[in-house]
Amino acid sequence: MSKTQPPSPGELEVSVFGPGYGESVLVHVGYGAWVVIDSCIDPKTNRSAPLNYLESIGVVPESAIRLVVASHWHADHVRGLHQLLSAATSAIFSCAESLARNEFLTLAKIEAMEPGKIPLGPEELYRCLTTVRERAETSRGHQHKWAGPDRILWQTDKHAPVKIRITTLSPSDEMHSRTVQTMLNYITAVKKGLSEPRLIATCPNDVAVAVLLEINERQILLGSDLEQESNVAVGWSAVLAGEAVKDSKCCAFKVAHHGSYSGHSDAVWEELLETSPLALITPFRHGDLRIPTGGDRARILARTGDAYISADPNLSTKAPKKSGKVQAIMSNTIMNRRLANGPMGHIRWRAPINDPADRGLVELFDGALPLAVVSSAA
Amino acid sequence: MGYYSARVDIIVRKPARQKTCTMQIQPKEPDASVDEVTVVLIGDFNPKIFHPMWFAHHRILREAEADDATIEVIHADVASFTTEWLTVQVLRDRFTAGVKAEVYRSHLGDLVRNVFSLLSHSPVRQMGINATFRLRFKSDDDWHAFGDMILPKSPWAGVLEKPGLLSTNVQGTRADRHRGLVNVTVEPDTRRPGDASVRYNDHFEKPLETSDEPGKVASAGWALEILQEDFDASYERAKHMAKKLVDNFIATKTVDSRR
Amino acid sequence: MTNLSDVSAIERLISGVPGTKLDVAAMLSHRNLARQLDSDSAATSSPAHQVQPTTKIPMRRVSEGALVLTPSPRRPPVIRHFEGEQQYEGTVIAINLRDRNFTARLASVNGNAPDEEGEFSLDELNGDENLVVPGALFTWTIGLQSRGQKGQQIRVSDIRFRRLPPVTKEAIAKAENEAEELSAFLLRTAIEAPIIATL
Repeated sequence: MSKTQPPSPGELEVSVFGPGYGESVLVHVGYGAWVVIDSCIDPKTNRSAPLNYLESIGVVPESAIRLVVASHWHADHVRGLHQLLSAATSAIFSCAESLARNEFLTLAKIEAMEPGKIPLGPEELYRCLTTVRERAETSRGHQHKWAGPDRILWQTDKHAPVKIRITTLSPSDEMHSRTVQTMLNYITAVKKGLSEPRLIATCPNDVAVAVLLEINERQILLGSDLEQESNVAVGWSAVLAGEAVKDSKCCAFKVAHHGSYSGHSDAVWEELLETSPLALITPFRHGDLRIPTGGDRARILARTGDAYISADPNLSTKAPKKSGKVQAIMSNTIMNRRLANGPMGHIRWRAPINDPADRGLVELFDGALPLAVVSSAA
Repeated sequence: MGYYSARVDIIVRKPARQKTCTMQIQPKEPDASVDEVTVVLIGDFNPKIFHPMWFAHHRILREAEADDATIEVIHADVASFTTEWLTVQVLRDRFTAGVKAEVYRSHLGDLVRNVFSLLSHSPVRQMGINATFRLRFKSDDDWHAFGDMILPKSPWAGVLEKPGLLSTNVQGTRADRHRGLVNVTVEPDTRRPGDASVRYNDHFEKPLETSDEPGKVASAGWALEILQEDFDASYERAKHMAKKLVDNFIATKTVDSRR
Repeated sequence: MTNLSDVSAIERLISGVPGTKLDVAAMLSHRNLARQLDSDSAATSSPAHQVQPTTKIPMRRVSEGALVLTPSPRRPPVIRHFEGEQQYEGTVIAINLRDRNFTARLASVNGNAPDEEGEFSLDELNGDENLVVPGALFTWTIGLQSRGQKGQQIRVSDIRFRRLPPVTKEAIAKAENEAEELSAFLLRTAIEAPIIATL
């Protein structure tokens, strides 16, 4: 199938993008309606990867994108999100409610005051929420809804040709409270000059939005960066205790937190997923950090052989050489100069909506590969 | 942006029978580079504190740089020093910091913000963010044609013999919410014929007192806010201005010149 | 800017500035100025600031009335021009103290090239070492520098960390006000019920 061929109206598509640092999930839920969770930048074009892809298959973002979800504020999940949302003029926007509170927005605004060519996550989210307000103040009406535990975001009416329901499973109330307190503590520290006004992503991730998609008889679980802790009121434990996932058996899983151990929950695999589900993973490559590790890959492959990753986490691409004299000087200053990202890896899964028995077709583009063939760490 | 006034300095070179005329030109794009970026604050200052080691003590400058700085003078009425990349001059009513290399522009902004974060109670009345560009024309004809474009010569016929542009200063209004003006100065470089400098002065005035702050002593806060929000944007406007001037020059087919 | 290496230049500069009080005659006196510099620079300008005395400025008499402060011969010449052939803005990602290096992500300032990464030595930062923390910004410029009066050319690699000033109380207050306004609007107007969509 050609990469630029759009899905047919009755065809489900899940596309996962991830060049090494960055993640975006794009879902065609049927009949030209698309849902986007997160955004990352295509290194070739420096534009939002999901936006690039939709335009390449002839989809008009203005009318086609119905829902945009920011699963949390980390830069690797939101770069290019404002560009995408600006194009998706019909879309409802959703994120954790704690990110719309003044504590987070204050920190985002302070951070945005400082210069930096590499955009920061909170700033991107602030811009998205500003756009949401601008739209609400015009004739377009209100266009945002908060994510939370067991919260139905979007569903089709009874006359629709496809029965669709999109539910957010997190963050839990406890995670919300923790986030608000953390942001308050942070602002206090910044005001006292005890801290730089730069939000550092820490574990656990208390704002991650996991999403359950139900499309006719199929169920798909998108795990964002949700993690597992001993506290049953947070993370995957809280999701498993909820009503929305009762009787769920998902056929596909966007594996949480780049396949890392902190995002893993045995109970999720055993209770929420079919046997040997389709597993879709984006790696995380940042400095020395390479996820999923060999141990992570072995753990996932023990659960399913049908696992794919958008890019090799251990692949390091040398940066292109500069002209002679400049290269010589650079070589004396920087060690192991490399591209921060490889090509925009893309896993695309398509299957007929009305035939749940048909497992469909997985295609791999631009460096995406089966998890089983990922190289070992150098 | 409207044009309020133009001040033109003209020199008389030597008496000769000259006539102005319309001349056809096909100018080539000049090479452009940044000559200098400066920040000037007008207010009340204490020059003698602006010793390089004061900057190092507050981690505004590297200690080694402060150590190696060339100090011209540190005195109650005037302070002046240079490092490799930076020049600072302070009088009782004027603070100036500048860099010759554009690559240090962001560090210049950081330095000035750091200084006036520490001296936030310094009364500052005006601020200028300035960028000077050097245009290197591909030929003497182009250099002269640029001067003719900036200053048409017909109006000077019978007034001066062989009028030549020395300096033009054009002022315009601000397009943003700040009080102040924008000044652009164009000067051919008479020491290096073939070159001209274009200086963009983003001039800001202290905001008027609000009704709930009558008699409030002026401070540096308003200038800090502008530096925070507008320092990079000011430079972008300066580059845009210089480019627009060059584009207008390249698009010019005829100039009002002297024979 | 004005070259202040001779007193006449200082005179011209100051004379044009209204309200400037300067005893020019005293300035022209070599001995008086030397004494004045020593005592002024040793005094504190405010309780928080202690300025190191500049007792070691070498001075030489050129002619009666002229005062020139001679720079130390070891001081590097001033950069007149720096043609950046490659410029990056860097952000520190990680620090490796054992190997004495740090990892940074680099965004090219010239054009739209993809981001890069690499390791830099902690031992070649010329006094910026204590600024290396995760998230710290720096500029890295490789290019041709023109230095000194004669414009000596040298190709260099210059890494310089940004010394960003602390966020002011006013800036925080302003951010809080704007954030409060946006937050209040968003929380008030969010859709509560599930959205029912048509296909």
